[in-house]
Amino acid sequence: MPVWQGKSKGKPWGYRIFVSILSRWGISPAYLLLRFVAFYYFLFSYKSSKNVLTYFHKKIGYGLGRSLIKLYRNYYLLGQSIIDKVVIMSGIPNKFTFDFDGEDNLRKIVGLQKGGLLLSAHLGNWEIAGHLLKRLDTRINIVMFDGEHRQIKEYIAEVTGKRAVNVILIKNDLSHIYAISEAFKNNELVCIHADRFIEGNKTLTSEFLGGKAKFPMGPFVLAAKFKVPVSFVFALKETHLHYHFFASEIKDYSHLSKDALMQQMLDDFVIEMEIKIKKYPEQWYNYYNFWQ
Amino acid sequence: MDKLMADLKVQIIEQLNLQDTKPEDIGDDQPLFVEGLGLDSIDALELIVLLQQNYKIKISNAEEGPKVFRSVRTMAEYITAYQA
Repeated sequence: MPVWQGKSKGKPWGYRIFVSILSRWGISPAYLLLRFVAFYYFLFSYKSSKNVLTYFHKKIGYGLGRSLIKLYRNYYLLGQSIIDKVVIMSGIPNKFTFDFDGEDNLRKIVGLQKGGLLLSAHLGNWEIAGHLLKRLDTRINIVMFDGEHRQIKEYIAEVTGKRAVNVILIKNDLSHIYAISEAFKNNELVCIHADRFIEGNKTLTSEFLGGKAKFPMGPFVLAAKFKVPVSFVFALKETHLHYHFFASEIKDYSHLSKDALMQQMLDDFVIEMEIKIKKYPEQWYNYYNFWQ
Repeated sequence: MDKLMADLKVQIIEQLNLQDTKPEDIGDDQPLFVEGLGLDSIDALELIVLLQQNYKIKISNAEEGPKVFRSVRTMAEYITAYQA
């Protein structure tokens, strides 16, 4: 049964072509080329397409024809989110606009001086929001799998320069746990995607879009053990040049036992994620069978 | 040191909810992670918090962690050195 392997699609030379177009001619030509790339994935990425098609057809409830169109749009929007990230983070002149809903919630977390956990998902692109939140006056850390293609990461880092966010890589030596612990100690924010897990890792189960789905236990254990305030954060693209960021209110789970806390927090997270998915169904970027 | 190691074994079993494991099943020098007791990253998190809560020790240095949590003995040695 296909599960997420901890790796993303794409080749370094592909990224180079896009960055070269972006820096010479701007965003529109890059989006134009992206249409062909998205169409290539639409035609030839059978495994991932099958899972996304099932998501649109069975979970969102679109007819087959509409699901096919949405599948193409899904690849196109994923490509756009990567291009946008490169543009915004590398300082290429652009006309992007942003709305923030709940920035106050993040300010409250910083004010509590305990550090904070931001739970997000592969829905939209929160890394852009993290980059734009320098004004919170604390460091934002994003936890990522080390399995992603190192060459691509290094290339993106080279293009975008010094990141406003700090990346904590999940490694076999467990160094990420100490890095996260240190970040909380320094009253920093730590953002983790709480929707994907790697086979063999501990999971929790919740009802998600009409079926039972597994979610990684790690992010919820972090919240329970370090007792840090938590906000659910998402960044969704609304038009070609506009993003909408959301950060939920802090909820008190302190009266619950560890297991009850983790389950309740997961259920709350899933409800919040479902609301966003129903509004922005095309921006769900999980290309494996989520409901196995 | 022996008393501290015995305490740690009980605390590890309790904290990690290792229901089928008894303190005497954990060797003083048995590796805790992967090939030994088979603990994972979530368990590592629990152990970090265990040291914080029970011994007021904060480990935040990524290089130090794996050495401290290699076995019950290394944990006990670290606690003893910290409290000295």
